[in-house]
Amino acid sequence: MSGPRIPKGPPGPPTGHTGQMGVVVRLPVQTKVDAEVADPSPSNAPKADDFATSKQGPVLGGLVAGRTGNNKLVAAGILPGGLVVPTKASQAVTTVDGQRVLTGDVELRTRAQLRAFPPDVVVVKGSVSIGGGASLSNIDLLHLGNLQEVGRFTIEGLT
Amino acid sequence: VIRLDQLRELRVVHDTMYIGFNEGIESLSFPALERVEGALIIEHNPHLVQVDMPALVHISKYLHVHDNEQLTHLSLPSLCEVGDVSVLRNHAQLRASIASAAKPMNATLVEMDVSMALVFATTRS
Repeated sequence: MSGPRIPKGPPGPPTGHTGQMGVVVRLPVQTKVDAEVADPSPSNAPKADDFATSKQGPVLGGLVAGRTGNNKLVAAGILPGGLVVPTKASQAVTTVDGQRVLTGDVELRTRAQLRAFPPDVVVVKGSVSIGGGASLSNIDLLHLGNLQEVGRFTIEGLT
Repeated sequence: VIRLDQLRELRVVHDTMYIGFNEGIESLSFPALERVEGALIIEHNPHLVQVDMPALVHISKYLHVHDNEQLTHLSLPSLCEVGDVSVLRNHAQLRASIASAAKPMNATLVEMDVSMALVFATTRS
């Protein structure tokens, strides 16, 4: 004996669930956003020179990056497109035996980040990654011109 | 075209040095680089023509130069200490130079394209 047939309707919109109990499908998540493009407010869009001249850089996602007038990096966190230097960079950059040393990893994925790099740094104790697969083009590495020692060194995705 | 010659002071890389998948790089020049305390990997740079590391003496692990279609000059004239060496699938006319005293430390893998010209430079005094 069988119950009434219930007609199947058209499939619903994707929900991220397979229909099987306990199995969840992870939908693609956009993990990288180029903030230079995605910034919804053009008036707030950071310009590369901001990082070199302002007392305090623009606030991006609650984190602050910028330079003092004498070109000291006062604080840094998430800059457009990713991580540039460790947070509290002013603490991360120290002077050892007369050399400016940055402790931590550095990822430079935008021109703004490259220009925000402290140009007096001679040693990076952590890794340095330029490009990071972000299809960075027409870049200037002038601020890295004093680098003498780094940890792991990666150049990837420069177009 | 990306200019990397601004990294002219880089002297030591304390881990692996990786340069890969860069369409905008035509030449690599690290005039002061002396030591790579890891591997040196240069791969899939489709427009890379020339690599010049005149002061590089030591690579702790391996040297891999792969799949750089336009690479015709690989100049490592001071390279004396290196682990495995693998130079494959670059330009058919690649001319590579390393120091005549170069002895791969592991001595288990030295792979190079048959057509590649390997020139031993004069060992530095």
